[in-house]
Amino acid sequence: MDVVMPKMGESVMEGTIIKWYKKVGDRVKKDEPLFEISTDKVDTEIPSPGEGYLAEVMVGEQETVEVGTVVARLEPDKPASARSAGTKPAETESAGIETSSLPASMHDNFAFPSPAFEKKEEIGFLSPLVLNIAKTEKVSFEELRTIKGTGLQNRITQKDLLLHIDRKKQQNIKPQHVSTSSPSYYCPKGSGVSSNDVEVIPMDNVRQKIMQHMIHSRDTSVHVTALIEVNMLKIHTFIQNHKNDFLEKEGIKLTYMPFIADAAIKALKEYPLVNSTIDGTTIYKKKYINLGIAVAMEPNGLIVPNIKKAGEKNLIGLAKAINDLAANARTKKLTPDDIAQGTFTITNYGVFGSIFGTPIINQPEVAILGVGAVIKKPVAVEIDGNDLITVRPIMALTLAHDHRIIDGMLGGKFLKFVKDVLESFEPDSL
Amino acid sequence: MAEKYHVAVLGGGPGGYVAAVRAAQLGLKTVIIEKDNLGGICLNWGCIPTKSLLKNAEIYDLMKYHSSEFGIKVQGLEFDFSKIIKRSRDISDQIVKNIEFLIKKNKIDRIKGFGKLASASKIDIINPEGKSIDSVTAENIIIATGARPKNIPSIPVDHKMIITSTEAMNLPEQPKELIVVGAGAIGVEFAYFYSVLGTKVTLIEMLDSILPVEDKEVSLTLEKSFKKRGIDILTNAAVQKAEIKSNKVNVCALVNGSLKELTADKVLCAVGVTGNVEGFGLEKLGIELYKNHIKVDKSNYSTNVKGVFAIGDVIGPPWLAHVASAEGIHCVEKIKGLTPPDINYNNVPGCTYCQPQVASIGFTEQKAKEAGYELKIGKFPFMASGKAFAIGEREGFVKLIFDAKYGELLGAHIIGSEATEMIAELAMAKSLEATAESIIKTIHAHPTLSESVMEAVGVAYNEAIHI
Repeated sequence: MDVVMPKMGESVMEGTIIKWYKKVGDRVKKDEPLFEISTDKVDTEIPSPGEGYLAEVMVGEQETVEVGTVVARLEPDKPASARSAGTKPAETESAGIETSSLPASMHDNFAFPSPAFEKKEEIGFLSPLVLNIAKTEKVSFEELRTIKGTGLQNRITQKDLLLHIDRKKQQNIKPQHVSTSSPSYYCPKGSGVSSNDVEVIPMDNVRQKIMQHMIHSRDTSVHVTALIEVNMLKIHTFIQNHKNDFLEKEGIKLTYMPFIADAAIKALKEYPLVNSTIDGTTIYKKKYINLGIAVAMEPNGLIVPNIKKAGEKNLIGLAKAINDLAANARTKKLTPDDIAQGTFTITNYGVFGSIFGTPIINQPEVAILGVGAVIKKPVAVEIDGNDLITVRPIMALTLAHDHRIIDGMLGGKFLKFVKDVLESFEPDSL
Repeated sequence: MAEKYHVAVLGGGPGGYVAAVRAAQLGLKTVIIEKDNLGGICLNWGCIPTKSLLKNAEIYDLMKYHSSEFGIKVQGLEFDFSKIIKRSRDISDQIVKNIEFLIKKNKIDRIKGFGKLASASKIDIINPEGKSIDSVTAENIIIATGARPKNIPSIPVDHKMIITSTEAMNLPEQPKELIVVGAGAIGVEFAYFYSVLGTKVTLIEMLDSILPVEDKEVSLTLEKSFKKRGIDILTNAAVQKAEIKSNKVNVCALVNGSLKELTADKVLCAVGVTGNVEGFGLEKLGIELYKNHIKVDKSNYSTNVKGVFAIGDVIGPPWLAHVASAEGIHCVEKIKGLTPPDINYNNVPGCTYCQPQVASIGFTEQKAKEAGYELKIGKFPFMASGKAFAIGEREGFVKLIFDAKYGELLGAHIIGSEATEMIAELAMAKSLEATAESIIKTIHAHPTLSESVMEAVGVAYNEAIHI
């Protein structure tokens, strides 16, 4: 039985194998975790499609292949000899000479070898054109090594290299080959810092993706942040009075988030331009609201799943949806579709105590709402014509918006609208 | 037939039969369904029979017009038109038999019948009365039903007076006058063939030059050569109407804005081809079409229906046998789970087999400029090649187009007697991403026409020796 790279969602074309849980020759039960993959959206464990012995592993750890590619083979009986992809050099060396089965015909000599036949350490054939481009664009051999080749026998083609150069220009990042071998960059000579004082950590896939997304957003949108303070008295009181029966009835903890989400959705309906996307000089104003909620991952990391068609949900529906997304995110049960197609994002840095922040827009959206901690503060209020100082639960909301499309006026109106909805909350409206 | 196949191929042309053979090589249980002979248009009514005819024309051309140049006296030179046609039919029959043998040798089941898609995994075999007489089930179906000459309303084909390429290669007698509408490869080849045999040929093209997809310099060179042969060429000419009137066909064309009336025994309509997408169940499966062709994902040639693939002419341009074969192989390898690199459609050679022959790959000078490249161009005329002198084929040139920045070979254009054989080197160079330097440092045998390729690079980089 062939095991293939599963399709994890409509928009996902390839996946990277992070870890094999089984070794070649191991017995595997159906639905037992077989390997872990990382797509450009999420990391997931993949269960075995059937029962048997892992006879062959064609795609090794840290290799990226297209959806549908055969990554391993299961056999009902324990295989006598088994192959695995690029793990033991001794095995790969001999594989090139002593192929266990002879080609069925001469034509098979031209078939594409499985990665098991390749020596990972070597860079392989580089075409004269690739070398010329590398020379002209000052791409080092070290850097070439990091490029995934799509040509015959995984050669790096002109297209692969030009794409790499393009991406590098876009992301404006340093080549990733700054590695363990060159700690001098971080430990300058004579600084008194030795290399033992610096721990060198290669970034995992998730961290690399977050880095790329953040840089991409910074380089795409013109970030402007507006701030408003919201008196949360009514909602605060409501939560205090109802949190216990809500937990009993609905099984979830009532927090400020569903109220804020509800207010944001109402504001998005009032100001739909905030719920849009820019492509070139065209604006795409979306009629649906897929509300993204930023979820922090332990020990570090961040993911933004979204509530599909959030505009059609009431407060209780939103509370449940937020709760589900957060739970799924923390237990790695999100699918790439949960991440795709968001139209607006809320990030709650308040849970960590921050009172305000300037969030980065989740591309290709054009605004993000930052939620600060609700803090009791002395505020001036006017009661019966008298100015008084009293204590109120105050929350600062920030809206980071893309100035390419949203000017200060719209950003301000949007925030004011959210504030008004929150402050005029009526328990009867539930 | 109860057993389930891994692959069922519908259509036995150069896309279908090649896909079937490759599938069998990879150990897939394969069946091929074709109502006619194997080999498709290519072997039966295209590439092979026309190349046979063109060889006759070349020999006659050489004997009639160039024999004295070689010191050969020819008296009473004649040809028998029906024997010329028969030779090409015999060759076609022989090659088709070879394909049937190939299929047998590879243990591929061959069903001679009309296949109709019943579902994404089942093909019914239909008899001429429309009854289902058999069926085949398969995990994967590859549609390779090809294309046929396109009809346009202004030129009503009756297959006798107003004909397509199929009739043009099998006429009972040689026409005295022939109008060819469409100066693509097919039109140009028949114009050459009949004109050499003495037919008065008029070639009509809607765009501004014959072989309009080729580099302008090549098109103009061929145009000059054709005119010298006595072929009338009308470019920027749109045929308004073609009518049969008492044993003649009248053609009315708008040429550069003014109407022109022409008459001939026959009119060959060669205005392109259209996909065979009707009558075999595509609509029933809901397979998506685009401009009379099946829409596919070119990373594995899958249609929008899972398990159903399509390759070759039926998926649209460039409508070339070698592309169909390459797509068939790629599709089957993907089905098997191999990871062949995607086909690079900019690296497909195109050939026209008139004399002088025309062959090209990649960008024309015009397209390369439009794409924003800064160019280095090298053109080496066969007039400067010793071998070309020796064999008396001094017409034409090799023109190579490089990107000035990285030295990439963007395009290659050859017009000359062996152009179609010479283009292979440049296809290899492009597919291996060779640069100007890699070609010029490759030792080319002397004396050959191929030396001109090396010299053309030299011209681009000021290192040419013989010019």
